[in-house]
Amino acid sequence: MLKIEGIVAGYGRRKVLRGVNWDLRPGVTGLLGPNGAGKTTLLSVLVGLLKPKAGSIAVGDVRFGFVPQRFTMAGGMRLLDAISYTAWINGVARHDCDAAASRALAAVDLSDKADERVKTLSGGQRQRAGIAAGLAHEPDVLVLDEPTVGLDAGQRWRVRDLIASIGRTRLVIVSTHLLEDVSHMCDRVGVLTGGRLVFDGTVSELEASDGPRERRSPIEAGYERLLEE
Amino acid sequence: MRRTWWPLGPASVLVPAGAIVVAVLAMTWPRLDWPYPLWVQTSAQFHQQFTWAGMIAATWACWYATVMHAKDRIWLRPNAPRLGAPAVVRHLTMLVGWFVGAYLVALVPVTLSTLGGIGTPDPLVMLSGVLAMVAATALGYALGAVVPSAVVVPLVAIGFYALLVGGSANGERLAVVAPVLNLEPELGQRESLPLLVFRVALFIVVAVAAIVLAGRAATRVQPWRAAVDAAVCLAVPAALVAAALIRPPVVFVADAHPPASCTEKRGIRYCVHAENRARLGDLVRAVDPIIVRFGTKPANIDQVWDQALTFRPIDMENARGLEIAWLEPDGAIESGVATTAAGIYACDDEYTTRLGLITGDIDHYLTTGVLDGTLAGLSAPEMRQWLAKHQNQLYACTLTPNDLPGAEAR
Repeated sequence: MLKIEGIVAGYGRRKVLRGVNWDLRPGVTGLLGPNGAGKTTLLSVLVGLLKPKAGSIAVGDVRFGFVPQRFTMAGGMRLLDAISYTAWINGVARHDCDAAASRALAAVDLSDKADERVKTLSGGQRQRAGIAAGLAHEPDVLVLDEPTVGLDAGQRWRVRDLIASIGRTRLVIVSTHLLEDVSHMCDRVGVLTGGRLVFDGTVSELEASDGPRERRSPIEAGYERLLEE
Repeated sequence: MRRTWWPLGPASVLVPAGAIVVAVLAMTWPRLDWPYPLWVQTSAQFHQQFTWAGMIAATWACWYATVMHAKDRIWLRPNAPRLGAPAVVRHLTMLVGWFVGAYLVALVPVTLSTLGGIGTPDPLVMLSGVLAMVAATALGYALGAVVPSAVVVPLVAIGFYALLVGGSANGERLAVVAPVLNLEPELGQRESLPLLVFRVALFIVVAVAAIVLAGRAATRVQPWRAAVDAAVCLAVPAALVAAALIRPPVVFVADAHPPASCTEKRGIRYCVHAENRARLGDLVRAVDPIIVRFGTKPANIDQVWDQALTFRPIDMENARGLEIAWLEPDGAIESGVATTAAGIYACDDEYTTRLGLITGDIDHYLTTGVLDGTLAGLSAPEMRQWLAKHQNQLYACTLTPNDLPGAEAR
């Protein structure tokens, strides 16, 4: 569905990605990696925020939805208006925007908040509102950068369930440094370290590694082994 | 209705539009019951009322842009097809619609009150004011898009106001670029065509440059590119402004031979602009009592002209004994006839003081009919008799204390 070949990217003279190849398929794909591995840089290249120095991304007519790690909406806006405006910016005809926003809010279980001001939303609601904004124009690929950061345990569970359900109908790429996120919502996972993709497979494949299981989960063990290698 | 302010709430446009209406109505309200409204002045209100309205429009548009283009807004994705110019055009269409609409609505009363007034409307003057509002809105918006921070909003308000006040204070020199003119035109004058054409062109160029700049800024180019964009976009309007300041066009023009309507009474010829024909009688009625109190035609006054006839240099051959009268649109008629007849400006201050300020008391008598100060105790016939006997000395500054009224009796 989405093929990334030999992507080299960075900022100024500093190379962050050093030739990333990745074949992405529908479902939820996690992008794991330690801080500074280049996760946000790769997502930025994917959604067009950053131009790669080399390589290509075969996207065809794929439409992207992107929810960055840090985002804001105008606090005084009605939630429905914020989402419908995002849909409009992303190409939805004006007369269809409210319906599109309503569908997206329903998908993230925020229909009852549609008429409320954005500033009244809780952290978890705000994160789901961001996902609704990313979904409103019905993209083929939804890209989420650290969507569970800053959420409490209950909110994290809701967001994970939501992402997993969205992944049933489209490709969702989730950047995270939380292994729990990956194990609970991802079908596949890519591990990025040192500017290269060192693993691309299923969560089970990542888990299938040696390690002292008495103190680590299978996914943690597999992940750490990869980083050590 | 919601779609007229979407995506922000109704307050985002109703508050500034209401403020514009209130500001313009407050400033034009006194004109509504003027008995002799002038179209040349009412047309000018379309740009003269810009001071507050333009500042409100620019400031609010700036705020709107900072809200919609704040750096981390979720809708600001570079691959979004309507990011940049389409979003900017949509926002500005709405803001201009509300702000200019409010401005025009607020100008309806003064325009209606001028129906049947003197002269004819000047569409180009009106258009220049409307375009100034469009340019101010677009410029304020562009500044907010370039620097999408709340800090810039009060700076835009202060900057706009300072620019307008500064432009006004600089008189005609900045008239070509400042929407508000230092002086309003009077009957017999009109804003010059070169001035209007330039202003219309400048405001269009500023609006277009601001839209392009805002569109570029909204796509979040790198800071150095934003600076280059700003320099490129503002270069054309800046060049126009520079050219105009080097060779500014004339602000007002007047007819070479304005049509006049005249009459004569007690040896004094009264003339008004033909458009003021209906007020010729009022002028005579305002001045004639002064002549009656004087007793005879003052030697230094032969004619009283409507100011509307005097905007071109007057042939001095025809200007002998000429006094100018101001026929105000609110019905007031003012002239210097009493002052001139009293000889106030004929002599220097030292001479006037030495004679006990008699000229001031004569002016007061001619204006009001009341004899007091140095003239207290005299009757009106005695005063008229004294004026008839001493007016030549009065105007030649050769009166002595012995010539003063009552001196002979003393």
